[in-house]
Amino acid sequence: MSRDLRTFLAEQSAAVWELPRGLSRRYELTALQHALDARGEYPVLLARDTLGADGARSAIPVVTNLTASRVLTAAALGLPDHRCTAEWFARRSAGGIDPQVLARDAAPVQEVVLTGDAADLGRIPALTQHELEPGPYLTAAHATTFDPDTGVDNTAIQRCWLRTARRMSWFPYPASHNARNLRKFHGRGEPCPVAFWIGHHPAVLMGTQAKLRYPQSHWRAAGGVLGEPLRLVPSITHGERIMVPADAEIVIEGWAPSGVLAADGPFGEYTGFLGPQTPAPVCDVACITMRSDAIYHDYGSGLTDMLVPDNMAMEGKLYELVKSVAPSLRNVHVPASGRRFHAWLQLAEPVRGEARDALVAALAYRRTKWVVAVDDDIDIFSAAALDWAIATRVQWSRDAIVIDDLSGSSLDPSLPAGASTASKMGVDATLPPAAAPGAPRPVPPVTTVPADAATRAGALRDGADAAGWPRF
Amino acid sequence: MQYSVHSVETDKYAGNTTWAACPACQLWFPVSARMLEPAAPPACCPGCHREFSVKESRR
Ligand SMILES: [Zn+2]
Repeated sequence: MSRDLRTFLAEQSAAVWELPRGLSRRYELTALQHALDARGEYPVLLARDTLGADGARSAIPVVTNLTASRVLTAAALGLPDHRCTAEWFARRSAGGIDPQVLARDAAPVQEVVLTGDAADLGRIPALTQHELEPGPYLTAAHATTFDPDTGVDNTAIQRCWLRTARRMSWFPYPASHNARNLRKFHGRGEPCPVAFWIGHHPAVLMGTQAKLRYPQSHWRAAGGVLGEPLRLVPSITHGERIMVPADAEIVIEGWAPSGVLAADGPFGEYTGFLGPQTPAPVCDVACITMRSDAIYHDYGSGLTDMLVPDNMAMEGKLYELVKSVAPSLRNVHVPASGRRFHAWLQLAEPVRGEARDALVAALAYRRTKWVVAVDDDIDIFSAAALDWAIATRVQWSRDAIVIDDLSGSSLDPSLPAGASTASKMGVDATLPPAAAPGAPRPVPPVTTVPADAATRAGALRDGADAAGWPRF
Repeated sequence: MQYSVHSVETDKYAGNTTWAACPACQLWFPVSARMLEPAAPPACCPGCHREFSVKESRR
């Protein structure tokens, strides 16, 4: 059986919180995600009979917070430990497995085909997540277009505001490969064919986020991450020109007409701030297909739900970039608390200059803004350990590298208006190497206790009643 | 090695966001610089969905 969203939910049923019926899709589900994030709790949320802004119930259940947990998301990839993502993801997405094409009658996502007036976006239980957003948005819609010059497909998660029954605005970030495809069609005065697919196994969602060249199909990478061929089916409207995953939950197909722009946003971004209202193309819906018992998937925008899978994929990309110039690289962590801007690199006995090479390579990636290199005695998944390394191993004028005018994210709220480049910093928080193999490093020893004393202390603590102890 | 602090004064305190106010309901919301260009579509108030020209609105 092919793996999909529902096989994952069944496997991980203990991690799924089935919510009381009748919750509102306007703010209420998102508020719950914020409350859980604040408590450091990351269940998958399954909501049935949710209410739209007009109070109408939807028969289509909503799943959100699917990927808020690193542990659960790693499990979806088949990884025993979320801290092993970087090397694994770099290897699996580079390898790839060719997709398999199904006939239409074998594709679950085309069990229901709605065309004409029946292709009504009002059927989709989209959420209005944050204040100042103008209405319900698709947040986990994977927009698939193709390059008209080569026919090569491209897929990216891009937001869509459901404006009317048959029209949504669609915001492909201007530097994205989908925006390049769109501009090519519009440059010829033609509407851009597009399909948006929603809901799949988290490994497929992450595999399609592998950062690729242009033009380069995402289907092979998704199969590589999934560990089996991704099953595809020709879309109803665009045929083999746009394939969609056969085991997705919902597909919205249509055309983005040339010369039509609509004001889209404000919209909550990964930074935790709202992006401004901005001109965006629109998509006129031609067809909606879905499973007969479809589940709608929503990503909590700017919440760990969206940051975790994105950042884990980014760890793979950084691993690949940095490893080629710094072979001592062991691991990479892109912490959700730093949004996409911070990356921690763990190096094992780097030679002179290698930590700085690693920093510069990582800073060349558009998304990073602050990168810290540490030795392999530092747990890069512990904020306290990172803080200790930075506090005790850095002289700022010697160990910090500031580079201005590198490519950055225009959504960074600290940039000046109109800036298209960013100022970035790398910090070498590694210790100097020993003068000879086996000799101590030329720094003071770290405080330790003997291993047997540590074992006895642990046992003593485990036997104590800690209920009334202060936690902080 | 010394670093100089450059243009922080102007950059930091100028901010980066243009706000528009809806002429109907007075809701303030952020708009991109592209919304001020001649080819821009009308702004759409996220509160009441009234469409209006950003250029002619209170900013
Ligand atoms: Zn208004």
